[in-house]
Amino acid sequence: MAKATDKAIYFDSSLCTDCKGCQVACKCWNNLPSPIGVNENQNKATAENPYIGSYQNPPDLNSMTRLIMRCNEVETPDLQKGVGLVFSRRSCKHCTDAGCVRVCPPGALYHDEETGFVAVDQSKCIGCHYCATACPYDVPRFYGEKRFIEKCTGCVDRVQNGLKPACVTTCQPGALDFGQRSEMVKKALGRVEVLKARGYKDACAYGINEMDGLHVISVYKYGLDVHQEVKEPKLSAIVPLSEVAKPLSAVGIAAVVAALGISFINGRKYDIGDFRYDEVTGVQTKHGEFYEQFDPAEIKAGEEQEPVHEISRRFNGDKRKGGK
Amino acid sequence: MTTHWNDLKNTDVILHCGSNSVENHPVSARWLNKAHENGAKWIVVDPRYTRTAELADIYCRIRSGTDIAFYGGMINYILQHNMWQRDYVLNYTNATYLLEPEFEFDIENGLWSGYNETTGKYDTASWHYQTEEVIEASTTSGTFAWASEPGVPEFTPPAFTKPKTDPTLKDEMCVLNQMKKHYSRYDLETVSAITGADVETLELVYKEYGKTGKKNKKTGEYDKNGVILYALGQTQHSYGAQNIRCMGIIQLLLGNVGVPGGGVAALRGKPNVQGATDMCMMPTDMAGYLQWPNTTDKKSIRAWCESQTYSAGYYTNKPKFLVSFLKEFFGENAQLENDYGYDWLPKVPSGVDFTISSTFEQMAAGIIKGYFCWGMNPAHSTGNTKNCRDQLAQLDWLVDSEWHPTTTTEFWLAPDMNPKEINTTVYFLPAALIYEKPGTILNSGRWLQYRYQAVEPYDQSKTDFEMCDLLWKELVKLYEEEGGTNPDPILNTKWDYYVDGKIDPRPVSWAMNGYRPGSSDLENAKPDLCKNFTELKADGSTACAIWIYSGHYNNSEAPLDPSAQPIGSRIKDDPSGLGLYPKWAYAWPMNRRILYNRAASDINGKPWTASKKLNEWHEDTKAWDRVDVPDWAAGTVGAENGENPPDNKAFFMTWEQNGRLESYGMADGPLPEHFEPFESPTENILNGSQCNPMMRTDFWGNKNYERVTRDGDDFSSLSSNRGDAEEFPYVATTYSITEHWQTGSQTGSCPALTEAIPTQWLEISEELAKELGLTYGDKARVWNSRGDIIVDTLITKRMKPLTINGKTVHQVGLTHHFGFKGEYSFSYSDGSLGYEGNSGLTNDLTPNVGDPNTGIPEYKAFLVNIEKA
Amino acid sequence: MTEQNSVPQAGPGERRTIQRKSFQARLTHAVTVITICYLILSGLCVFIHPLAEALGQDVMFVIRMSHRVIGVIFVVFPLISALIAPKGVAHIFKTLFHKWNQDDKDWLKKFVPYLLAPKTQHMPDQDEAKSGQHIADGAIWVCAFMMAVSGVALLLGDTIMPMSHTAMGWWRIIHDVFFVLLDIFVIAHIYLGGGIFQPYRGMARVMWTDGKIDEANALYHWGKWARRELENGVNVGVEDEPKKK
Repeated sequence: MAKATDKAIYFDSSLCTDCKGCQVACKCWNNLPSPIGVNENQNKATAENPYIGSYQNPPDLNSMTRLIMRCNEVETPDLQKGVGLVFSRRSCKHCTDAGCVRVCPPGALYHDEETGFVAVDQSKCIGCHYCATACPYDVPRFYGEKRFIEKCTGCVDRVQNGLKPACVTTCQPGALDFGQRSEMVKKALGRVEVLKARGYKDACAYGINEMDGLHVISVYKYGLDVHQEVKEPKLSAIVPLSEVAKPLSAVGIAAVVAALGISFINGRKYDIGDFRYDEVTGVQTKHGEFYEQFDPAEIKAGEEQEPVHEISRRFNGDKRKGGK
Repeated sequence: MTTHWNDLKNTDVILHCGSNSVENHPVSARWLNKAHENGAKWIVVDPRYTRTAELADIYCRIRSGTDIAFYGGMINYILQHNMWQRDYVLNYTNATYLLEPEFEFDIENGLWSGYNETTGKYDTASWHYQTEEVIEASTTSGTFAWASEPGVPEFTPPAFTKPKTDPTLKDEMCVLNQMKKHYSRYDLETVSAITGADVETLELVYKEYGKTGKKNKKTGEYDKNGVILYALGQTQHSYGAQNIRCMGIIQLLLGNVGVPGGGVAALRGKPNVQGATDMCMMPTDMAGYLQWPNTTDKKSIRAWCESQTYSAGYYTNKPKFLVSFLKEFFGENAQLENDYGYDWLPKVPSGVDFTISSTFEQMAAGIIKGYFCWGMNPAHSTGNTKNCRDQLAQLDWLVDSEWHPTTTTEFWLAPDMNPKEINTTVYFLPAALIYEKPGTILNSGRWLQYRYQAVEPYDQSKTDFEMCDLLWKELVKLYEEEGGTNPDPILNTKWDYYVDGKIDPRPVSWAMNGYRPGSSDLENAKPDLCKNFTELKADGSTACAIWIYSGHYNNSEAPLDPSAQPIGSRIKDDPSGLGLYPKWAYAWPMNRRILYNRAASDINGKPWTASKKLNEWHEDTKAWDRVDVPDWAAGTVGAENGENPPDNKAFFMTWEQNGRLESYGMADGPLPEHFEPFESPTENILNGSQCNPMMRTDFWGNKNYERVTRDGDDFSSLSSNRGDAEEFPYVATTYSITEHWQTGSQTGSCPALTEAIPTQWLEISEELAKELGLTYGDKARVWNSRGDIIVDTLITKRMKPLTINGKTVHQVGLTHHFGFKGEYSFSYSDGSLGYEGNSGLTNDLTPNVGDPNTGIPEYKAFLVNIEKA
Repeated sequence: MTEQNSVPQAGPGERRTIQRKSFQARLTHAVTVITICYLILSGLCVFIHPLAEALGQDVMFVIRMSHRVIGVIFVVFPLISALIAPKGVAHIFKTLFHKWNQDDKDWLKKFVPYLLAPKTQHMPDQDEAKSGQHIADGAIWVCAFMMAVSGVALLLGDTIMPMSHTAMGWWRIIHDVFFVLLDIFVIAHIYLGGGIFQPYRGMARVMWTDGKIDEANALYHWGKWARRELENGVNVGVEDEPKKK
């Protein structure tokens, strides 16, 4: 579970106004660009992002966007309003049991000590994209020609200097907050009760136990489905498999090398001509003893009756020919 | 706003009507959320289910342009169900006043009494109160004692006409009874038929909001307050000002003005819209809402003083503000002998329209030949921009001052313009952005704050005041060298806003605050600043450019240090706990945070409820205990005979000193009445006039102020060009979104914002989309008799067809942030879709017709037709 | 017996050789060896975390990109080779994956003691491929094939045919597992085939120089095959005895 001293970002979808201030503040603080070709952002209506009553753009996280506000709509026959706009914050959730951290070869992804956030050291990233395969939320994206990691860092650079994450600082309506994780959890649970009393019967808190505790605690007004949230996030089997694969292979290779080492040592001064075995007599003649006892004539004598497994020799002037 | 942003948190019922504040004034959401957390009910009335509606508890969909029907229904409901706050209404409003017996509304014709067939205007005499007695003003003692002092221009102070009242409300001519009669036609069924909202929802809204006028049965206190938030959704109609009157009436009826968490919240957008309004950027008002000289009742300083000065209340002091204004304007040259230079001010011809809407018609008429466009973008934002472009092309020259070329600067690049045929010379003055210059800024809560310069202006761009200075110097030089038809106003004007020889906003602040020229040495930066406007005099001993701001910069000890002035104050104390923050910045007037705050306590000076105390009268000490600067004649603290005891004079900015439920000051009627928009899909079922009879159209032409009847006149002129519902069956409304600011001249150049919302769209219901064969990702052609544009479609569950007078009516929404010109995003004008010449400007579709009081065009309700592009 | 005359015979100071591998086979093998070594080493840099961290972003970028380029060569070269000589490929698979006979089983039973203590064991006669080769070379073939398939999948998935992260993850796991297996068999293969194992000295010649094997070694390793070849004589040649050290 998350440490008692951990911090968390709090997101309350019922206070959010979808102003996208967070989305833009994230870009500003982290120097993330936006497409600037003329009309490059336009005509993006696709099957996935058909402007279904949605004010959402870009359609998803991308190589220059670490945070987006999702905007969906829902019919709410139980409520007076009859319809609802659904705002959800989509970014890294900062899992306690973070698959991305576990599979990252160069340690570019790591848990920040102070906050528990999954921080990023971009200078270490080698672009292997293992993190993407391990993330239950499909968060990691990759930027630039070298396709290095692009993901929310939890603004640990700001937090270390006494500030709140950029998205939280900019949030006017108070939908985002930052503080002790335990307090954020308490706040979320309290908020869910308020929303339920207001008639949002599917309201729920998210991130308290998921992935051993997320460091983004969310309050979802309309429930997980409508908010496009992952219902029961699980660590991909890829993560433990990757982790087991390495020691197992190390052991395997070491065993092989050791066996070959023994083999090499025992094979010292071996000469294919120095060894003889007679299937007729069953005599194994050991190395060194053989020279004195060897008589080619004896062998020749038995040749017709019994097949003798020949050992070619390169000594004693005897040049046995293959075949008959 | 009669209150301020932070005060929104104190409210119990939030009513958004014609405002989408959560999107367009994002900061409001912070305080509204706090109120909501504290248990406030939140109601949104809007044609579209907006992001504000998402945060609210109750949503009521109405047809765009039917606000008065909606409000009228609420007024009727409040009166019928006795939900009005009796103690407040009887004492603090003109409810008990008797109106002239001729006061009448003619339902057949949709006209009020006093209509003049020849001028096409109202004579408002019949809208006045009956007079009990006339009390002549004395200039030797009392209110006008100062008028006889030396140096004060001669004028006769107005006599006080004491209105007849009937506190028992038995007289039929009582304002309240007349209102009851007038609004009795606005029953739930009628309102529902007009607005399209169902009866249940209307009743729910009326009931919830009406609760703010009711006494808490347990405590016996009036402890609930409501606030109405409005913005351009209310003003941009041909009866916009009457929409706002409706809010005023409702808020007065429910006792919601002057109390914490109450008021009428006019939300101003761009920093300094409020400031521009205050300062004099309007054809009728000079700085501080003093009126410009004209050719009739304000043709001389005497006429001005006599027509403008009130017989009672604070506006008895108006001449002081005028003389101080003139003294600042003309400096040493303003003397008693020359009426303080009054005649050097331009006189606005009476009865002629000089609003922005008329400007382009004057260009068409060849009257305006050159145009200075400063920090605005009319070729993108006026009603009927096609007309605007055509008229700009008639000019000899156009000067545009902006931080980069806008739609107006490059109007000749529009796909339907032919640059070869345009002879307008366009000059572009690169202007510094807000962060590149120091100066004051004013927000909706009337807070004046000082901002320092963050960065140097980019390249050769200059601040506005630098450009003004250069222009001014050149003008003066030309007049000095070459003379001219009328050089005196220019040559006599005082222009000395320099520090160390450089133009500087701080001396402007001295001028706005007011100072005593006699004891000031402005050249050496030693002004003798006035404490506030109570020190202003009409004898020429004080100078003040805008009286309402007086007090914002009053520390003579450090005149060059804004941080040592009230506007630089940043102390976060909030002793009242009501979010007044009296030491954070400076709120005009007098650092008063909640206007009309006398109304926060009852006739005996007892707060309506203890938790919302702004002031309280203590009979024992004969003094007021108060947390906000008093907005009434409270007297001086520690005065010998104590302060003035409580009375019923809660609104001392009117001469009655009571709130006006009925008002004779409007051009189009003493009480708001529903009319259909200029273009409407249905008939007006409430009275015999289809549109507002006083609606302004053809601002400069012969039809100025002409009546618009149900039978319909010919509105085929360029700028209005009316279309009918047969041809254009869909109601369209325009709106802004949070990601962009108006014409996009700034936000459209911010990559991250253009990314957030990259395109203009048509918001359309699933039902209408199906009917039109539109599907996700399609482009739509939207057109009417004025324009023709291509936009993306946004098909949504949030839009729904309405049943209006038994017929199904579809509404659509259009954003207006993009056009043919844009850094990163612009319309489909390249012909790629087969629509060459499409400017992409939504305002090509809006008519240039406006409200008779303000001239604001009707952007919010008009008709269009739609097809798949 | 009738053909005996046509079979080359070794004179004094001479010995006979059998041509075991063609030039094309040797070239293909050589290219494969070089590429596979590079691929293994560069792959190890990602596989072993401290190695990735130590090498740093820029070096790792070069390594990763070259891994892809070399990977393509690794896949494409044998394919071209196979297209040129489909019969050779058929032969390889026929010998490697034929049905096991008693010889094979006997050989395999003795293999482990033989490997660990070669002087104590005498290995039974074998045909063209030993049963050990069926396993070891077969495993290399299978692993290499799986590496190629998963590698290509990863390359395409990351470039022109984007696939889901989960799919990429599983391909990666496949790539990892066969990488480990391949490593083990390649090490063994180098030990044996490269002649580090003393009984296998001189075997490198088969793949690395002229593709021939001398009569003595041929009989030692693949007795049945060698005798058949010697009788047949088509692939038999004669050369000088190497000088004794």
